[in-house]
Amino acid sequence: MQPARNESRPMVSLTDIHKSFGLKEILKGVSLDVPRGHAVSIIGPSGSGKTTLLRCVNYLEQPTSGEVRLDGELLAPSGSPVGERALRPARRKMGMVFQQFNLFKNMTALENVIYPQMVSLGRKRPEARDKALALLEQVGLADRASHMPSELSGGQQQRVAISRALAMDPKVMLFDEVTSALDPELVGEVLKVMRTLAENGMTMIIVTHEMAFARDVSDTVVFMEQGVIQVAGPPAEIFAPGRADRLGAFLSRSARQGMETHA
Amino acid sequence: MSWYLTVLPLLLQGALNAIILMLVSLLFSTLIGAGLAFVDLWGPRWCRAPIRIFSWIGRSLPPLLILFAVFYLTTAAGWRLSPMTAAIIAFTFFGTAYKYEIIRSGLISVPKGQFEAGAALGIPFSSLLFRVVIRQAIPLMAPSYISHTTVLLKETSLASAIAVLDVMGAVNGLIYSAGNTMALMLMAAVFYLVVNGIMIVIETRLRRT
Repeated sequence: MQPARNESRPMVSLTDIHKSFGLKEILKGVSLDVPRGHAVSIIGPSGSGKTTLLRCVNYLEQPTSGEVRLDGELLAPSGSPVGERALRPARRKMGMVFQQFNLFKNMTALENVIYPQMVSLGRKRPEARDKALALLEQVGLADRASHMPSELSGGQQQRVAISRALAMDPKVMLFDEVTSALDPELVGEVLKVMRTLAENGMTMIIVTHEMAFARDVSDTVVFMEQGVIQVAGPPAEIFAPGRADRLGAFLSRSARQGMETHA
Repeated sequence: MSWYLTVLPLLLQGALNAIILMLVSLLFSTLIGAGLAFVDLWGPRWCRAPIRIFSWIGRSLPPLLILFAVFYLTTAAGWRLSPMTAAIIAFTFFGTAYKYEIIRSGLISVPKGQFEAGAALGIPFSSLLFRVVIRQAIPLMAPSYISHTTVLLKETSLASAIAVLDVMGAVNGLIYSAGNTMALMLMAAVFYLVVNGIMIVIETRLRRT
């Protein structure tokens, strides 16, 4: 049953998400609402659980307990294991972009964008092809359509991966440290594509180390540490200078590291 | 000239038998080995132990022992198999153990990210397997797959032990009846070089896909 469209209902709603690997509890009860059309960035030190949280949204990691709702629809009952097949309809409505791109290595850039549309959405090849070409054009890669992933730079591969996710007409886009594996000079081209998406009203959840990007693009910034959300708020508030809390300590630490890597 | 007329029919019959034995057992062991690899990797957990035990037996016992076991045990049980059928069963048995290991290691060499991307896009696993995973695994497993296949061809000479006329069996008989040992050995060598040469060409093709 499709719940009626409701503008005030969050696009993604996470309720009390717990996730343990063995005895180690990575997420200790995280709740987060992402309103329609909002870009939410998740920042925090490595090991804080931010990537695990993102992977719980589309159940690449199954939460130990807690609920995920996409546009009001519950993905799975809390705490019970759920099969691949049952998750497919929800996953098709969420686009995910990975740190390591994960393009299908045996297919051209174009085929990477066509194939999922055909097999997951049942689109016919001409329609899927038109859509793929338009999207590759949008990310500036029309002339690379027939290249294999191994013939593309990291930044180009990541832009193809974004096109592949967008081709599914997702309700939300999930970005998992998508610029972390890129050479510094290639980061900008990927962020530019993401910025355009945010401006066009795509709902986005972005796990990132790019503080300047998080500040400029996000409607909400979430600071995670030790498996819980420590602070969440608009960027102006989160990045306000002179914070004396753990967030302040994290920000000055990453600012120092940023200066070292750019020096 | 008449010497050739004496030896050629027997040698060609041996070559034909060797090729039939190799190709049929290759086909079966590849299909069954692939099936076992899929079940081992993605099937129910309880299947793993029996598959591993089968692989251990198939790779540990000498091919000749397996050949004898299939031929004589079925005969003792009153089940009359032709020597060729017994040889195909024996070769499929130990061939499958090796092909299973080769295909399994090829499949697990495909990066985890390929599976995650497929899952995140809601692609059915079977489609992902045939369109993405297997195609990436083939070049990875081609060298060991073909190496094992060349060994399989050479091992067809063991089948003469249960009276399947193969190339070396024919040579062995002709040395005594027709003479000219050097020429006979040379012809056998040419047979193995040509057939396994084709295998090696196939390998380079597969590696490039």
